[in-house]
Amino acid sequence: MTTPRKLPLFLMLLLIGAIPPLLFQYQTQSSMGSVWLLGLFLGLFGICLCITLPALPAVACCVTALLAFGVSNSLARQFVNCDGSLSALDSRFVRSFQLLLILMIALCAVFFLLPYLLGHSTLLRLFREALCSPIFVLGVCNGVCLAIYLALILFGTAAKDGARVSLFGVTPLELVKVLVLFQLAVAVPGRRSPLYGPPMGCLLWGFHSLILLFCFKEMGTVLVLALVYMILLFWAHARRMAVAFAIALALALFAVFWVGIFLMKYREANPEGYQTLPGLLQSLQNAVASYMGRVDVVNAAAGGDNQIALARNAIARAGLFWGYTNLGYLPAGDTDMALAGSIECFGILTGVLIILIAILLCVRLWLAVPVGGKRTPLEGLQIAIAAMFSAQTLLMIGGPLGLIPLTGMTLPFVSRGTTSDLLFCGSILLFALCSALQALEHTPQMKGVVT
Amino acid sequence: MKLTINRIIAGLLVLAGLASSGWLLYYHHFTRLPSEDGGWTVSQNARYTADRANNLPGAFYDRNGTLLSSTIQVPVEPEPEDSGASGADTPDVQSVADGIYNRSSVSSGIEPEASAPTDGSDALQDRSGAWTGGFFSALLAYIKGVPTPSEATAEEEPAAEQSSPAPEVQDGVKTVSVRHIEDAYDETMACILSPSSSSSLERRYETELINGNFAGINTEYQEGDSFILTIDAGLQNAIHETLQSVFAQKGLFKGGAVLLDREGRVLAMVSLPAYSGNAYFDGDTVRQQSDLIRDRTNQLYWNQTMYARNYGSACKPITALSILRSGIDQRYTEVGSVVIGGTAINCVYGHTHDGRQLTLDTAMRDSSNTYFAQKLVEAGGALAAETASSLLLDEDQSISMDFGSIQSSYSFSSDAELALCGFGQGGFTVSPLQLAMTYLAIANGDLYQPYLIQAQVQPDGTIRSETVPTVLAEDVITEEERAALKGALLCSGDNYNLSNESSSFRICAKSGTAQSHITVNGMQLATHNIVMSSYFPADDPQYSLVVFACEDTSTSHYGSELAEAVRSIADLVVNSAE
Repeated sequence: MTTPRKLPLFLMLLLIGAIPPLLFQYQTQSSMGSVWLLGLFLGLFGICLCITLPALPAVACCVTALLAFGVSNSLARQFVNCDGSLSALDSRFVRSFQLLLILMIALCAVFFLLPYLLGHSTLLRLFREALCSPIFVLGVCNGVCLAIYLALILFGTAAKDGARVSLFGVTPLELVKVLVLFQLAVAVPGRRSPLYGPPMGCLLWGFHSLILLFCFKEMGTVLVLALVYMILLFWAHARRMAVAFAIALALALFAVFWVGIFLMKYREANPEGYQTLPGLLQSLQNAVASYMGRVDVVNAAAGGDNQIALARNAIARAGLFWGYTNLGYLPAGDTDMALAGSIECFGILTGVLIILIAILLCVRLWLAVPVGGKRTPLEGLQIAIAAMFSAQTLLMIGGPLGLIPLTGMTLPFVSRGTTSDLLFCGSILLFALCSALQALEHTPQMKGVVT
Repeated sequence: MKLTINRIIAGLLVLAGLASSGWLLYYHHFTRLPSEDGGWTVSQNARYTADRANNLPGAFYDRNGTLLSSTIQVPVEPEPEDSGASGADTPDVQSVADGIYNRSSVSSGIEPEASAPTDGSDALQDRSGAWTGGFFSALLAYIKGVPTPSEATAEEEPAAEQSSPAPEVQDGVKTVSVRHIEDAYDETMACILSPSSSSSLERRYETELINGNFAGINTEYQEGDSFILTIDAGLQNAIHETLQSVFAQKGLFKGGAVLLDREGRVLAMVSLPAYSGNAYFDGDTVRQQSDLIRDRTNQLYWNQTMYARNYGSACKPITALSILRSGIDQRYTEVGSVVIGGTAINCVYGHTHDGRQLTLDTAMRDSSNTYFAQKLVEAGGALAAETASSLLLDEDQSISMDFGSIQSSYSFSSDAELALCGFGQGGFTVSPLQLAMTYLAIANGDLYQPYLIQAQVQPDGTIRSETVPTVLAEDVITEEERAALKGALLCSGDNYNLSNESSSFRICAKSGTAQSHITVNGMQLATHNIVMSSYFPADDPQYSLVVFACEDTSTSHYGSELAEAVRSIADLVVNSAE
């Protein structure tokens, strides 16, 4: 945890991290070289800080570096034309960029303010009450989730695949993911209430997964939640259930994959019949077909089902040290395909840098979890957050590289998406709060306040 | 240090990160391939990555034996680190690839047409020994009745060998297979062949082509069959160029042409805007295609010829057929506007003559909407539906092609809607391909199944299967009806100056202009679909040609403007046959 005496040093580092993006904003007519330099500088900056700083400030630095890469990629894709010329920057992206800057600064500031905030017992009491109360965890969290589901079904905007995942410009299912994580972390240890325990965790996971899968085709989110739940089971010493769940999950993934293969065959044998299948099965077929390397140029041009093939080609176009000047080749190059898009912009070594920083972020999160054997909800929440970041990072690194089927999520902090960035930042803050609370638990005056 | 769950997971994550980084460096940088545009590409999928140096999958040829599309072997060597986005740093790999791509003519500055094989002997060489001369000679003799390649002059053979060297796969050099669309072929048709199209001949026949599966599920690749198409590459390219020129002059964007011979063989099938399968890896092209798709109506451009739309007055011969069959009086006193079932029908051609006496011939010539609307209502809906059904134009009878199917509809629920069908509006939609079939039936009486695959040939050169012309409906139009329609269509064709004094043959034709609309970004835009349908020579019909342009948002063009293109294409076709 940072202490007040480190404040000047950290502010200085923060300033160094924030200045290049600020300069970049006012250099919209700059060449690709400065974009590349920006990414490279911030990547090295993040890695240096991660190695030298304690866990949580290192996490903040990783986040800053990843955000900088993501923003640079997004900006470059916006104002570098197909022919390599530059165009004016869309004001929407300037706003998005400014928002991210504010987020980065706020995130770092909160790290310093946290110890002072936590000195106030009311905040601690409120948080403790929330964690201890099944009414809050099961009632309020599920209530919010159900309200979001309902609002999406009634008022949501359909995405390309027909799933209603957008509500008035935001994607509230990101919040659902965090809320379900919260519930799983509190419920799985089974200490706070007779209601809690691994079976309740399974029930919660199953309930939300069914809705996410069949109403919103969120295969990636369901997979992330399953991995989080499995890790929580291991952590909570429910070993038999964890092994059983892991085997069931592996078998289910294997079966789903072969269902996808079967659907590929079915689509070729009976295209008319295939069109009548439910949207979820068609999405599954698309994911598997894309992974198996089907090339469908017309759909691909419209952002369709061969994103992996396009991503791999985009990566190949980039040099080792430099990017490809004619951007726009890769659909969703700053969202789902952020890793491939960044490599296309900045080169393969930058891609390696992003992978390493993203992994470092997860590693530092894991190492910041003080696994003490008490299995408190605070610890569970930290594990759940670290597991979510790890699962999502691995899925979104392996997907564009063609190592695993693509699941259509965001690479934390690199992919452009205001809602997901906000929620990821919120998750990091929640993680820091838990860490601070656990640290304070050991101080004599606070002992017993937090359990 | 105690091994806790968080430390174990952190260790695993580090391993995963290092492995991903290593994979990224190795696979996407050190094993990438030179692409045809001078940049780089990676192995696309299992089909491309499979190391099948000794297995040559099947190819596509046109009816004259010209190689259209083949699978080529590209040797790959590890690239130096400093080789950037240009292939200039790797001359050896590129030069070998150039040779195999049959692109040596491009790199040496010779026009691509110079390397286009013109007869079966070149195609034979392109297959690098996969064929036997006896087979191809026999096939050529079978299709065209021309002298076999073995009878070709000795001077031609070395040139063919030089233009298409056999791939040399050296020991220890990795090779990958890439489908290549030959320069000799129109880019539009490339989409029908290319695996990148969601429905294509290659997709349809992939099992036969590689004797396996492109998805990589079955990795036991073996030599596959080849296909000979009914397409004539020379005509296809010529029509493509003609249409490109006409469209550029008139500011048209989207359209195409279909040319059938009298037994339903598709000799040419052109769609504009053209689309190149080989340009798939070119970022700009994909971006432009993407923009076009988003800006327009999300139709697949290469599929225009099979997509049903209203094509207006070009459908009047079908109405005329109903009128002939009803036996009603064909004479009519023209009015500029008439109300049928509450719907106003106008003659929009611009020269209506109230009170003028029309016959079927003059009504066809002047494209009188009111004539065909009123006469069809008089003939009756049952007869109209029966006529459409006999020509397989109702929606219950889709016609399957080698890939996909042709859709059409002929539906009405009131006299007003029936009247609209009378001049090709309302519920009467038809694809250009089916329009060409119908005009063939009007010319010769029988409705033929259109087809693209002439023959499927085994790796050893023997014919596995061969398509014979299929009559879908025999004598669907009687001789008397054909004679009457021929007279009307000749009047119409002459009205477009399709049969001038210098012509050696006359053309039966009818233009059409349909008012329609498209939705772009939620807004409805008025459009015109324009067409000129024809068959020729009028005295001994051998071909049916439909030239069309659709979704013209300027709404300032009419079907008659395509007459010049029809005449020049018809001349080309007839001269080519002679």
